Amino acid sequence: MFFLKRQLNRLARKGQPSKAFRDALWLKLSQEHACLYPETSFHSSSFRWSAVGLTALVVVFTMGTGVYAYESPEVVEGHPLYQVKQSIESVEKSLARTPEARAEFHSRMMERRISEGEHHLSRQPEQVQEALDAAADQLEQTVVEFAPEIQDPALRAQMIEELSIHNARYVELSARVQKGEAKSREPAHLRSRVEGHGLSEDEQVRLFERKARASDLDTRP
Amino acid sequence: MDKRSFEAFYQANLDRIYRYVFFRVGRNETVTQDIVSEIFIKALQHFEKYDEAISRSAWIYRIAHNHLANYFRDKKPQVDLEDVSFTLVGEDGRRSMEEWEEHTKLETALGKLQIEERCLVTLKYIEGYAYAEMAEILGRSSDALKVATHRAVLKLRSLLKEA
Repeated sequence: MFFLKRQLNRLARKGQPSKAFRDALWLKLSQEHACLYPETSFHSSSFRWSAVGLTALVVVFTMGTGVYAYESPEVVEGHPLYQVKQSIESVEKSLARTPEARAEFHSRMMERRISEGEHHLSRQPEQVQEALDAAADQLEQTVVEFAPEIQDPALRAQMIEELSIHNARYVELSARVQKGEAKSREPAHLRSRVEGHGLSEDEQVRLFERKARASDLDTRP
Repeated sequence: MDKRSFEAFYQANLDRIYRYVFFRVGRNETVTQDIVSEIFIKALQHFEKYDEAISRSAWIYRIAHNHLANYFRDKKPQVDLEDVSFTLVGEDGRRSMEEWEEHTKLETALGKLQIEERCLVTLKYIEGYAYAEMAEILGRSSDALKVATHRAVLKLRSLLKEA
C-alpha cells in the first residue's frame, strides 16, 4: 500500500508547475486585475496590508507587556493580557502568506497551547483538556498546510521532526491529566487528525514514534 | 473584491489545478500552461461569486472541469471528460526505463479502475485534495469518500500486482 502511494506521490510531483510559470501567471493575473480594478494593484494592496500588520507587531512588541503577553504560557484565558496575546497571534497568522510560513505558525501555536496546558496542570487541571484540544487543532492545521503543499523532502523531514516533539509533549501531558486511566493510552484522535491530509505512511510513523520516548522529556527544562 | 483572498486562493489551488489539467492533456506542458492560465483568469473575473465558507475547492475545480471539457469538445467531437483516461505518456524522453515501466504499469492499472474509483484516487493522491474538499467537489460525505478511496486504492494495488 505504502509503495503504491509513494508511486502516486512521485507521479503527482511530475505534474508540478515550474516557478517560472507560477510567477509569470501571477504577473499576468496582476495585470488582468489592474484592468478589472484600476484603483489598486495586487502588490500595492498586499504590501499595504503587510505593512499595517508589521507596524502593529512592531508597536506591540516595543511595549514590554506585549512581549510578555506573547511569550508567556502564564497568559491564558482570564489573564488581563490574554486579549493582547490573541491579537498578536492573529496578526502573526495574517502575515504568514506561504504554506511554509503557515505551517511554521501553526506548529508554533501547537507548542504554545501545550505550554499553556502544562501551566494549567498545577493550577487549573480542568483547563488542560481544552488546551490539548486546541493543540490538536493546531497539529491538524500544520499538517493541512504543509503535507500537500511542500514537496522538499528536507523541509518535510524537519517539520515532521518538530511536530513529533510537540506530539511527545502532548502525549505526556495527556497521560498526566488522565492519571486515573491507563497511562499509556494512545491518543487515537491525534492520529485521526492527521490522516488523509497527504502524509506518507512513513511520515505518519515518524510523527508518532517519539511518543514512546515521551518520558525522556520529563527532564526538559 | 478582497485581493489578498485571491492571492491566497491562487497559491492554494494552483498546484492541484495544474496537475488536474496536466495529466488529462497528455502531460503536455504548453497546453497545460495555456489552459491553467485561462482557468485562473476566468476565476479572477468571477471571484466575487466565490465564497470560501460555502466551497473551498469545488468552485475552481468546477471551472477547471468545464474549461477542460470545452477544450476537448473543441478538439474532438463527443468526448466525455471522464472517459479521457488519466494519461501518463508524455513528451519527456529523458525518463529512465524503470520509471517508464513503473508509470506504464500504473497507467494500465488506473485505466482498469471504474471511472469513479479512478476519480477518487487521482483527486486524493495526484491532485492532493483532503477528504473534506473532495466531499465538497463530489457532494458526498467525507467518511464515505474515505472508505471508497481506500477500497479503490486496494483494488489498484491488486491490479498492479496482476500486471
